[in-house]
Amino acid sequence: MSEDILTVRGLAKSYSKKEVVRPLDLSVKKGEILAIIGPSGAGKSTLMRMMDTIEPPSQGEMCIFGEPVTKHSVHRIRGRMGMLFQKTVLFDRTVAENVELGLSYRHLPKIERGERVAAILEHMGLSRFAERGARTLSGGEGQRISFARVLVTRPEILFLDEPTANLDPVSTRILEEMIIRENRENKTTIIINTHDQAQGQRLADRIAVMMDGTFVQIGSADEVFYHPISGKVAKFVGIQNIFTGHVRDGEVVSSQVSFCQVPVSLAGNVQNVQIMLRAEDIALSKTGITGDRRSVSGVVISSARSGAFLEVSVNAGCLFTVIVPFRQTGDVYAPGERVWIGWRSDVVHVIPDTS
Amino acid sequence: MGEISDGFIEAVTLIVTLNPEILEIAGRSLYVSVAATLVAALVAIPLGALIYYYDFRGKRAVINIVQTLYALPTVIVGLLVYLLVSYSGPLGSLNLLYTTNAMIIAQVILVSPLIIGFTVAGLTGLDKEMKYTTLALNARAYRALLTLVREAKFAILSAVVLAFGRAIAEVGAVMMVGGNIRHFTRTLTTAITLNTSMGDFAMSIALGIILLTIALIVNLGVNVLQHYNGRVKDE
Repeated sequence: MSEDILTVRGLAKSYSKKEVVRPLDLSVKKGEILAIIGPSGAGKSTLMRMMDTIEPPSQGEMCIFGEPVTKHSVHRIRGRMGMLFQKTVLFDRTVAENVELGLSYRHLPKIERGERVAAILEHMGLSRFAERGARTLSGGEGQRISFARVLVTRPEILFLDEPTANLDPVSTRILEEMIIRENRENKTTIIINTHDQAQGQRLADRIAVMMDGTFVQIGSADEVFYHPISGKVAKFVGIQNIFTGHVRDGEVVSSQVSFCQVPVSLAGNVQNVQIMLRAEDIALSKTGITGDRRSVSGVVISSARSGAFLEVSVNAGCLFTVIVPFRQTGDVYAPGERVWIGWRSDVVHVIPDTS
Repeated sequence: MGEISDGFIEAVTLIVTLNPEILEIAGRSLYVSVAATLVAALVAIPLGALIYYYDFRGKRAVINIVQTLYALPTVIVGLLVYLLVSYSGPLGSLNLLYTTNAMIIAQVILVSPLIIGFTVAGLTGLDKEMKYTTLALNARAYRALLTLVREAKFAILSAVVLAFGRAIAEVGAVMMVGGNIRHFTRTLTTAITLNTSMGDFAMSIALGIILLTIALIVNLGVNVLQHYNGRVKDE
């Protein structure tokens, strides 16, 4: 990782008095993959269009490739970036002509355009489609063509706005592999918007959580997914066990359940806390939990299959959600059954309760 | 009743025998309306594209005004162009009054709003990501617009065909600025008006049949284009 390739300061956007993006700052390093995750309507797409310079901000400034974005520099800067949209855009032409579009906008000689288009289609395994009408292709193929159309211009920064939101799982995997390959092979800086937190975790070096028009947390996947800074972020990143509790005799307690010792990260004399525990970090047993785990017994409220996993609700003073691999247990947990649940102290995330 | 059926039979005879006066009038009508539509398209399509492309204050108001002008009364256009090209008007020195050129000018004014409005609508009907894509691929405005107009071609072409339909069927403006002069500025619509008032129904019916046939062809053209437009959107 080296210098910042993109910096924004106080960037904001309003549409007729409605603030879609509230003033925010961001720095992105060269070669980095940054995922911006957040619920729909958080302002992710608007922010991305502003950073790609195709939508003017209401306020704030940007510096890209070490150059401030101004009326005079915008075309030069935009020419070194590329953007892929959630909705696949294919023009009513052949695949090769679609891919060629950005190159013809750059007035490249016809021979060079042809060579680069052929090379990128070959590279992405799309050569067989070259002369087909672009709109005759499937959704996944179409989005790959759109991606090829961006990559052929050799962008140094790539903006991907929910690129797989309309794709099936197989097409999503293929496109994700292409994204990672582009980053590894060409050191392309990639900023990806996604509402799929798992996708953010799979792809990104760093994750920015955007809610209500601004960033609420930026950090590594570990920080965001295991140490969210608020209950709201915790919910968004899929933490199912969030309890309000308090500190008593050096222990973090909620409804008589003692979760862990007060962590050193909890500065000062905090009394009220929020306790977060990922459902997949909790062990479940019919006979008892051994080892260095905190454990507590409870009663099964319900259980449901979710793919290869079993999601079990257990009332153990607090209402816990536990996720265990189904095949591993092979067990059925009937409502009313007595079970033991347990967790290691270090997986419990405790923050001051400010609400 | 007899008069009408006799007139009808005579009209068909006039058409089948390729009556030279009828051919001349139909030819002039086509010439004036095709020329007016082409000139209007050349001006109005780029104008509509620019209105679509740029965000500016009062954009909504401009579009509303353009749409209001769809129903611009033809006699008002006739009056306006008359005042412009009459001998004491600002363009009086060009001697345009009672010429086909004056008629073309009137029809250009008449149909331009239609083409502007439908161009804006056709482009607005494209996915907004399409515009974003051209921008993100770093297209300059004119290249982006060429790409987008090409995408909306069926919608825009059907607007042009509709405009031609309005031009050729129009009577008020061409009568006022053309003067309905035999062998010079007489068109299908002005000739029908005159012949009907003179009681020459055979001639009127013959000209009417030709006008209707043209209208039918125009309508078919619009339908075909809209069918393609729908197909493009479905894909």
